Amino acid sequence: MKKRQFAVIGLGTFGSSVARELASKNAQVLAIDTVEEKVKDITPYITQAVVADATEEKVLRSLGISDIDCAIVAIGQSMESSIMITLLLKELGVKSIIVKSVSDLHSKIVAKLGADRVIFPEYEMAKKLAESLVSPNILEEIELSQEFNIVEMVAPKNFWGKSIRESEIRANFKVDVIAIKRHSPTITDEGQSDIKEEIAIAPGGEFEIRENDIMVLVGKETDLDHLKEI
Amino acid sequence: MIGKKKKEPPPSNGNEASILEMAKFYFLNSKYNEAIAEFKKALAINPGNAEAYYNLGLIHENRNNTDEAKDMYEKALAIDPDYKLAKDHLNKLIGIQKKI
Repeated sequence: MKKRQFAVIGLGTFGSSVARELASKNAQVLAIDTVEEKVKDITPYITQAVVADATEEKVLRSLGISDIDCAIVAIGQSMESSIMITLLLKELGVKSIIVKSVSDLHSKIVAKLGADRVIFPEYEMAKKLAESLVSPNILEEIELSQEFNIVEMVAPKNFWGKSIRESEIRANFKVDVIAIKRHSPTITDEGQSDIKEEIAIAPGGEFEIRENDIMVLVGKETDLDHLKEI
Repeated sequence: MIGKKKKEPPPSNGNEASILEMAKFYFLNSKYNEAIAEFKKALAINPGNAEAYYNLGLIHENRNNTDEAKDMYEKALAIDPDYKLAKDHLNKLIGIQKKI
């Protein structure tokens, strides 16, 4: 299978992390930044890193950007540069463009220019943090669509010792259990105590929910909210 | 397979090492309340027992009590800064991922 080719433009914390993660998953990664030191730092980890100004069309052309499967514009400091680069990438026919946004206005502009996906990490993290502070039993929440979410939560006390069927979670809350995670004590090869995580995927109706279990649930956001309150 | 194993606890003669052994036995058998009591006994004898703090951290982590778990791992690391497992668990709870 042909390796997918990515370009990451802007090597701040976000951009360099994306570039390194992609490379660790065997993708071909071209990284671009105007700061030599940032390019030097990432060079050992990815396919190619270049010092270049991506706001110049001829630079992008010379790097063969049109052949890239997906470009990630990760410029946080200059909204103007981010917008210009998005426009150029679109004009040069890059198949998929993802832009890291710094504000609502930035998101709207790049969306109008044809960005395929706009991400706003600060906002997304803030939302997650607020949710985890308000509902400490919620460990993770992933938005599947505007209506449906996946939630990872500590099993509520009312469910302890009951099978999934007995808990009547589906009948009463209209959510499905897609996995149950359980931590078990163990001993390492060096004789130290530790905990290992076991996971039951798509557990059947007879599967018993125990104290300290973590349930991974899928359902409508409104239904999941009811469950968080019990 | 998610399950539990049951055994008889080892005899305790009241010294730190045997209390620790007993505590770990309870921990391994998921008898967390008994394990906590024993680890606390070990700490009463020797407040510098990093392993006891680390194990208490594991119990709290198992119970999804993140703040308490972090507190225990930090105490273990204050005693033994090179306690790798305590450091790994603390980093995981704080959200620090290992760099590639």
